[in-house]
Amino acid sequence: MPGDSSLVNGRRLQELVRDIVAEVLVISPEAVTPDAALVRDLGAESIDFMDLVFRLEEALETRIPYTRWQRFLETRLAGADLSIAITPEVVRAFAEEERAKT
Amino acid sequence: MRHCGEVIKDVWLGIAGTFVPRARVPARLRLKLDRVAADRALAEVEDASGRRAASAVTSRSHTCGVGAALLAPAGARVGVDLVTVERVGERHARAVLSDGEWMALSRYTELRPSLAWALKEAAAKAGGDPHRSFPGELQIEAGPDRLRVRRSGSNDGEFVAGWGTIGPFLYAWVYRSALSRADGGS
Repeated sequence: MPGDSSLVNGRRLQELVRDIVAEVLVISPEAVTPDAALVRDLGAESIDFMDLVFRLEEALETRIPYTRWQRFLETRLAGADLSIAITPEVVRAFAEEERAKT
Repeated sequence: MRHCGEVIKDVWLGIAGTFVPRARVPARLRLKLDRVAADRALAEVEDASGRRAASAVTSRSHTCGVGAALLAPAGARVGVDLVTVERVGERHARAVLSDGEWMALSRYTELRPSLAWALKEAAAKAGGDPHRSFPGELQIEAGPDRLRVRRSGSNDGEFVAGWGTIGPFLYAWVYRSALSRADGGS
């Protein structure tokens, strides 16, 4: 919708994140539900998270050092089991935070 | 795919499983498949070394249906990582290595990105959790005879490191004995 703050180049941020996750993990976008655990349910590995950050950099047209993603996890998911806790919704929240910095 | 042996005295590495390109495995089964392979690798090093994981320290890694396990005497610090060589590009490695570390690995040419990434992951596992951080103070160094990981600005004992390839995979490991930890005052 016009004026929707969650739009990135005309796409909703949630959809953008879904498509990026699907592309990086080589799975169908339909499998990427907002609460799916990226590691446990979708088979993500460490290097995949770096690719997620790279793709977000390109989509948001901003530089995102990988350490910012790690700091985000440390703040948002301190003490959590990351194999369960990182979901597309967490990635979306990170993308939202990064976009707000631009 | 199967490989098992003593990489340095009392430190055993095992690799087991069948390479399956990730796209061929349903997402929900990937972690399960990989963990089974890592369990097999660990069982093989237990058998080969005569040590039980419960009374030793271990590190595991897995990808694409294959698992790696490293086992060392209790009190040691260990980390192992397994990657497919083609999966890691220079951009990945440069994102977690300092310029000095990247330069230190210049002799490894085509394997440089995957070796750099795997070493950094292995070092991060030995020092904590690579999902959360790549400890900047753990610096990869390439000596004339062996790779090392040293904690910069500290008298802490250094890690020895090693690596190898098997099929499409590259593995890297780091190890520091309980004795060198005591010597280093950690």
